[in-house]
Amino acid sequence: MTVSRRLKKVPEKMNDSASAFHLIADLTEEKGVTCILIGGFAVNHYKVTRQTTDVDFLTTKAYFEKIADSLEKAGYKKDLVQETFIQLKGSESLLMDMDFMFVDEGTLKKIQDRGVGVKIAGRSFTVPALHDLLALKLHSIKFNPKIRMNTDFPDIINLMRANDVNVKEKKFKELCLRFGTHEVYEKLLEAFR
Amino acid sequence: MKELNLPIIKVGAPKHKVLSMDDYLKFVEFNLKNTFDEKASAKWKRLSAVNVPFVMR
Repeated sequence: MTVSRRLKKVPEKMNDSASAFHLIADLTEEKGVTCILIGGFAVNHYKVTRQTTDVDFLTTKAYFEKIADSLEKAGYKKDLVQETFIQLKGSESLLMDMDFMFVDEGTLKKIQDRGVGVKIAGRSFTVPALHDLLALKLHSIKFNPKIRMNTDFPDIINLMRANDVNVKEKKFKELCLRFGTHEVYEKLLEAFR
Repeated sequence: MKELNLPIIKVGAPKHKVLSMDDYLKFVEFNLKNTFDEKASAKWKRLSAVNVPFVMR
């Protein structure tokens, strides 16, 4: 069954954004592709609710290429394309914008293996384990501090508070110094003082 | 101050609500329909991009 036909099966009462999740769930199942849910939806799973304007997935470039045509047929258009990510724009009001962040196969497998299952709009997805999600955010701050300090830093603080992560615990400090910077760790220590 | 007759709130702030994933989807949907600024969002997304590979080994 084609993706567009499957989309018609989305119940009418289902909210519009749900169709993006149905589409990805169908495609990943059909093509044997791994896409891990990150971004605002993963943050919400860990008890921190904040606004988001798109759905973010972690995958490999090779996996993305397997579903790229089907996404295009379903109404998505490439917006911003870079080596490590692609941003897709939903050309119909039905479809939420989607971002795909690319990692290597080993990294994806590691995050998938430690990930947690969630259900959205009746479909199953995986979100990263909390510390892996924090690592992704630390990485973003490290390489785009000017902008990401305003978005990912509050996310990290809120995620730590909501999930009782101790800033002084060895595991967190190591994570912070590995994926973030010493400066970010110092700022976190300050925030939890 | 007494003349102002201000209410004294004695109870603490309510615990923040944790949204289920489906409720969160509705929340996102509502905001996209009612408060979304497409131009500003597109600009923000470009600025916040990180083009350095994330590696976990």
